[in-house]
Amino acid sequence: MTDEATRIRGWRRWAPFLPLSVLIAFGLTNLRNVITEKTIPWHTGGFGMHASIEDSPYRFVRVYGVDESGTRERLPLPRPLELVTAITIHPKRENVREALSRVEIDDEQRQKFASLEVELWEYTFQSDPPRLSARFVLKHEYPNNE
Amino acid sequence: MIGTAIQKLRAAAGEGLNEDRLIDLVLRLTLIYHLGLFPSHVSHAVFPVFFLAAIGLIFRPALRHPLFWAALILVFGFHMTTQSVTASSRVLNFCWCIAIFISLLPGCDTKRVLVLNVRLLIGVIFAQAILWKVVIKQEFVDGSFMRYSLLFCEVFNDRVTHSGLISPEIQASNQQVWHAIINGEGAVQPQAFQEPAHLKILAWIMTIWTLLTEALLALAFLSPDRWKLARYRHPVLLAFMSTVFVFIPLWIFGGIFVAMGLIATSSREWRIRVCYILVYFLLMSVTWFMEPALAMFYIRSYLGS
Repeated sequence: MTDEATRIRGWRRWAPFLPLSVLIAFGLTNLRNVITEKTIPWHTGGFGMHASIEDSPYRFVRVYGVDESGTRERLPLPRPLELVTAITIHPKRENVREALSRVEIDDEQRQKFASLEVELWEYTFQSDPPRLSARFVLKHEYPNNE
Repeated sequence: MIGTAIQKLRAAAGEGLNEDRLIDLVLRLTLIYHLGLFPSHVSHAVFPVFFLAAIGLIFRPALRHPLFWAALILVFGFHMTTQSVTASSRVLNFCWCIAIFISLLPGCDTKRVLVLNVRLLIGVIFAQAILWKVVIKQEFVDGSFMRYSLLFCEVFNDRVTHSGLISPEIQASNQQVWHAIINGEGAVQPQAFQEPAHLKILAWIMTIWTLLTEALLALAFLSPDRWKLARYRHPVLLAFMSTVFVFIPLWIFGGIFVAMGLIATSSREWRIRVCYILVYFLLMSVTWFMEPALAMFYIRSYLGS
C-alpha cells in the first residue's frame, strides 16, 4: 500500500465526524457563554431555544452613575438602542464598555461620577398565579476614567 | 385507478429514486432551504447565498462539486463570525453543509457519509434540546414555557383566540398588562394574567408531547442500527415535524430535517419517502398560506424593509 493510499484512508476515517465536532463545539460554547457570561440561550447555537422564555425583549438594562459618596443616579440609556440590545443578548464586558461610552450625558455631568454601572435584569414567568417578575442578572461597574 | 396510482408512486419513490437521484434531491432540498434561511438583519449574506443556491439548483455539476459547498460554508463562516448572535438553525445548516462537502470529496461514499451525519447531527441536537429543557432550565419541564407561550407568543396568539381557547377580551387585557410590564422595565408592579383552565391543560399536553418526541428522537438517532429503537427514527421524526412544526411554522427548519431524513431512507422505504415529501409541502403550505403574516415577514425581510 502506498503512503498516499494510507493517508487517504486515515483522512476518510475521521473526516465524516468533523460536522459533529463542530456542532458539539458550538453547543459547549453556548453553554459556557450562558453560564459564565449570562448570554441568552436562544442564540449561539446551543439548541437552548424554546427551553425558557428568555430572549432579548424579556431583558432590560439600567445605567447608573455613582459618585464618590456612593450615591447612585439613574442615567439615560445609551444611543443607539442597538447597543442596549447587544447587552441584553450578550452582556460581555466589551458590549457593556461600548454602551457606557455612548451614554448621553454631558461632560460636566460625567465628571461628577466616580464610576458607571450597568445592571441587567430579566423577566421570568411565575406560574401561580401566572405573572412576570423581574430578576437581577448581573452588574458591571467601570471607573469613570476608563 | 387508485391501485395504479399507488403503483406509480411506489415506483417513483422507490426504485425510481435511486441513490444518485436521491442525493440530487436531498442536495436540492438543502439549497431550497437556504433560500428561506436569511431573513431580516443578515441581508449582507443574502445575495451570495441566493446566488450560490441558484447556481446549485440549476447546474447539476455545481450541485455535486465539493468546491461549491466549500463556497457555501465560507459564506456561513463569514456570516457566523461577523454576527453577534447565531441562531441554532444556522449552526445545524452549517454542520450539514460541512457533511455534504466531505461526502462529495473524491474517494468518499457520499450516501454513507451523509447517513452517518444525519444520525449523529439529529441525535445530538435533540439530546442538547432535552438537556436544556430538562436539566439546565426547569421552565419547560414544569410547563411554564408552554403556558406563557400560549398566552403571549405571536405564533399562538391568533390560533388560541380563533379556536375559542381564550376570549379576545381576556387576551386584550393580558396584552395590556404585558406591555405595561415590559415597557415599564421593572418599574411596574407585576399583575397576574388571566389564564383559562383549558389553556393550562393544552400547555401541559404540548409540553409532554415535545419532551417525549425530542427524547425519542435523540435516543432513536443515537442508538446503534441493530437496536429496535433505530427502526423508529423516521416515524418519530415525521411525527415531530408534522405536529410541532405545524403548530410552530418553521418550514426552514423542517426543510433541512426533510432533506436529512430522506437521505437516510432506502428504496424499500418508499412510503417513508412519500411522507417526507408530503410533510415538506405541508410545512410550506402552513407557512405561506395559513400564516400570511409570517410569509409577509419573510418577504419584507428579503426586500430589506
